[in-house]
Amino acid sequence: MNVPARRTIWLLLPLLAGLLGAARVTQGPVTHSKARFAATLPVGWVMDMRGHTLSASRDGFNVQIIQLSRRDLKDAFPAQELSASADMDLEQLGELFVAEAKRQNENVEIQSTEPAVLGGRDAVRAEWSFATPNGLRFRVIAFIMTTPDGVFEVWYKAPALHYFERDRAAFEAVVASFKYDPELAKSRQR
Amino acid sequence: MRGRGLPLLGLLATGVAWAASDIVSFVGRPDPALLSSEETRLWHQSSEQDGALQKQGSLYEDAALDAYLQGLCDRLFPEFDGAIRMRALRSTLPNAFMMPNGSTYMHAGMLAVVRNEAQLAAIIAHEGGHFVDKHGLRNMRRASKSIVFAQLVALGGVPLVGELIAASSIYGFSRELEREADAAAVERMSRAGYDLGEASAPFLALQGYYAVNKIKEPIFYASHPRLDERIDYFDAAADARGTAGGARNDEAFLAATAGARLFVLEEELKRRNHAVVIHLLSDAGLRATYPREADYHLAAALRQRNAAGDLARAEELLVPLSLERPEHPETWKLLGDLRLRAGQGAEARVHYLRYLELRPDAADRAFVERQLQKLESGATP
Repeated sequence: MNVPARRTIWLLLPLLAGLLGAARVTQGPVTHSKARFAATLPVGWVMDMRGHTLSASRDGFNVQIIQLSRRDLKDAFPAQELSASADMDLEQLGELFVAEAKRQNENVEIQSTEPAVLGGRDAVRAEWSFATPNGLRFRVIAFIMTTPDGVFEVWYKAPALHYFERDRAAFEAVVASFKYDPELAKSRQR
Repeated sequence: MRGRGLPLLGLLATGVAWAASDIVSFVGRPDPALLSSEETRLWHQSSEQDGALQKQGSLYEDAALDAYLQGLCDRLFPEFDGAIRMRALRSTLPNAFMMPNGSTYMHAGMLAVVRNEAQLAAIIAHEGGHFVDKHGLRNMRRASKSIVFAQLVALGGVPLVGELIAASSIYGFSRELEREADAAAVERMSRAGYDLGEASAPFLALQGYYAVNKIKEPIFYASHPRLDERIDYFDAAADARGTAGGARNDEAFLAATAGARLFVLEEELKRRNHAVVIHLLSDAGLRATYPREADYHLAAALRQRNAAGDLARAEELLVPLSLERPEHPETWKLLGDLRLRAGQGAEARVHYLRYLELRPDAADRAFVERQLQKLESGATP
């Protein structure tokens, strides 16, 4: 590829990213007021906010992705057509969470489900993996918690080879910074 | 529109007849060097698909089971000398399919609904019939005139791309080709000495499976021709040829498939498909073909469903199982859950401890330890 063509592509990339709703992450927490949460994303990653979902990636959303989202309690487990409740038993929540992953991809292999804390509240942490038809194995760490404002999920997916361990600390920092803020919901209602 | 469509249909039909006329069935182990360029391309695509299934982790890795399936296939198709290659897949959907290069896949879910080797032979003989008569190639030629192969479909975790959608039997073929394969299955079963009276049973089992899963128009193994028509066909063939002395080989089948059948129950429970597990194990005849531990799976499915009386029924199943199979860890875990629910914390604690002792690497260990801490601190879980 010649130099002018390469330069044109570099010039067009930010424009394209802007058109798609993506932006570079800068210092400080990102607040998703519509989805009622805030978190500090890795600086320099590309983020994308749409609907009730906030996504971030360093090398491409199909490579590694950190995703935070909120759903209504009634839409908690769409593949099972089941709702959730704010005070659900954690083990039952974990069972439903894993079942949802397995229904979406039959080849998912569950490594663990355990009680955890997310944003200072009881949550479930699960780990699973799956392989694509070309043999690329992905690993996933996912958190889920229920609140009166809905179901919150924070998850990280990356290829087992190289990427997963490299960016794991970045994900753990996001988890540590996650904050569910019911006040955001109230301010929207007013 | 209708008036213009008719001549077009006529042309297509003529084209199909012409296209199929130069396809000659295999009579023994094929020599890849003698395949047409069209077939070579299909075989190449099939080999790529074989690789993808392996890389994706879709294979049910059990060498003894694969050897058993292969032996059964070779008994049905002795002159093919292993050219039809059998593998088991992890998929819990009751299905089986072949690809144009002879690779034939048996879903674990199909093993879960059949009861003996003669029933399994009916499925394998049917799939082998597709291969012998090159139904993949015939179907692909027909389909290529009417659809675009730019899509990717995934059924039971098996992704297929392009021409293989039409050339593999995963979605079934036309009514005519399926009937041919059924006729070939009757012939092969009869020659190999299997009990033809068992041939219709897998299709009956599929009818029940579809009803439970609320599948109105099954997309595989059932729609061409309809299941009830196929059941009638196999029963009529059994009546005409007689079934006396035919082999069923119950014990060999149960020994080879026990692990895969329990795997299907476990996977269905993980997906919370309790209706399927309850359906399978509530059939006394089918239940009798499962290992003793399947009572745990039925109890776990009842707990998931949690309808009136389900928990009491689950306990009725688990108590004797815990005595007869004290080494089965999950029985203790579930019994602990039921005891906890009944307010019997001390009993629950003992069962949970037994579970962790037997299954120290349990995926849900942290949950159980949390429950134990609550019990030991006197908190109400």
